[in-house]
Amino acid sequence: MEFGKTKLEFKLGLFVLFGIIILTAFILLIGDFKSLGVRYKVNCVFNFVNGIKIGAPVRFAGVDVGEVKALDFMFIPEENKTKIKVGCLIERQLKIPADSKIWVNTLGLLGEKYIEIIPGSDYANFIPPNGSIAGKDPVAMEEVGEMARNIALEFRDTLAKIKNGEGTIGRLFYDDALYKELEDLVSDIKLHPWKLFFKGKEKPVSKSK
Amino acid sequence: MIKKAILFLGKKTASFFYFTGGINKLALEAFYLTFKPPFKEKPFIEQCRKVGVDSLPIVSMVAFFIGVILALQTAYQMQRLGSEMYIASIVAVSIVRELGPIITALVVAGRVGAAITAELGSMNVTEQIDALETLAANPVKYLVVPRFLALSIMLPLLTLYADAIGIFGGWLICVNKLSISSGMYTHITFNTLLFKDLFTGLAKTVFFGMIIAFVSCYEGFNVQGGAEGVGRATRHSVVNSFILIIAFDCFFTAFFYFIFP
Repeated sequence: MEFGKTKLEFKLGLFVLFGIIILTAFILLIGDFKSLGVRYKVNCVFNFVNGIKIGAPVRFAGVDVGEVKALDFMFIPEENKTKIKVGCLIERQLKIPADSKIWVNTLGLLGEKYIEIIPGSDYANFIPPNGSIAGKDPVAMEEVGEMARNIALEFRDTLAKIKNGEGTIGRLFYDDALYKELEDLVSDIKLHPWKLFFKGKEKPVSKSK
Repeated sequence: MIKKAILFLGKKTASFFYFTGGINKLALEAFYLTFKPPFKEKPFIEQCRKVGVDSLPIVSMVAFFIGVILALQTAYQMQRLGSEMYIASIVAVSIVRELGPIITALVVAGRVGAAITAELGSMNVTEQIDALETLAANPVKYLVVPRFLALSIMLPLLTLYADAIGIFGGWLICVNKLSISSGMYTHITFNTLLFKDLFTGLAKTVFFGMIIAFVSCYEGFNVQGGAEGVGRATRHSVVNSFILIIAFDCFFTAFFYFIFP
């Protein structure tokens, strides 16, 4: 039996070849945008990460430069504390200054979580590949709520005090004494306006010329 | 009346079990005989041409139209939200994950599956299959194995063509009618696509190819009566392939959804 002689085999060969070319093109094109070879890893250490997920974007000065690839727990004996290590893959050509600020940010109020990097000014030291950087902890929504609640409670107490006529402002609002004094003063001045021009002898205003 | 209904239901259920069992027996036999010599290349290459090369024009045409339709229908919704940027990713993901594989499988089931059933059916009616057996040639080895191999190898290749052409159709609409730049479109397309999208899409088609091959061969072998029987078997073959392809697609989609989230 002979191979590679008929027109049929030629057509089939062409078909398969083009199919493989398309497959290669797909793989290369998809891989080009996600190739792992041109990235390096930076570990950000947090106490609290507010529900960040693997695959979340990393933004440097507002530009997407990588993504979160790993989330690990890490016990630090010096501080006697378990922290979260977030492994981020960053594009190779990007240099991150060592004093950059890193925290977990949210798109909108309930939106997607991402790692925000605001570049620092120390361009002499960069974070090396596989290096670590401490992240600023995001404020948990519960903490924000708690704080707002505390403020509201204190404000309510103050308002209650003012209503009860306690304190300076409370007395200003609810105590008639000052109002009566003022009324007396005004009526007195109406009756004796010349009192305004009266200059007391016993009190020299100032010693300057 | 009630007795009749129960008998009818029972008959239908029994025939379903016969069908499943028969398909499975045929599949096991074909798998076994695939790895058993002698190996004949000529019928395999012939079937590859029939499945692959000859189906390419119609698959390309359908895939192109699907790409165009998908881009336009998505644009209709996305323009209201002012997010035309997502058209590219929606077109890419839905074609590569779902529409490319299923459209290819359905077109091939209608085109090749029906032909296989008609061919085997008329061979059966004219007693050529019995003649093969008297010549000590196993009809499964001789007829089913090349078709099964050709379908399960050529269908992923055809799907790749369909994916590429479908994305091209979407590109044509987006670049010419929706004023999205060409570079932007390709960037978003391939930035959104993941390897798992491509490979889960292709993995499904191997099974679709097997379904088409086994269902159409089973129906072809089971033809009873003359020309009328061949027609009935062809109809059953296409209908059953369509139902099984879509059911298995549902299963695979759920499977991949939970396995590779």
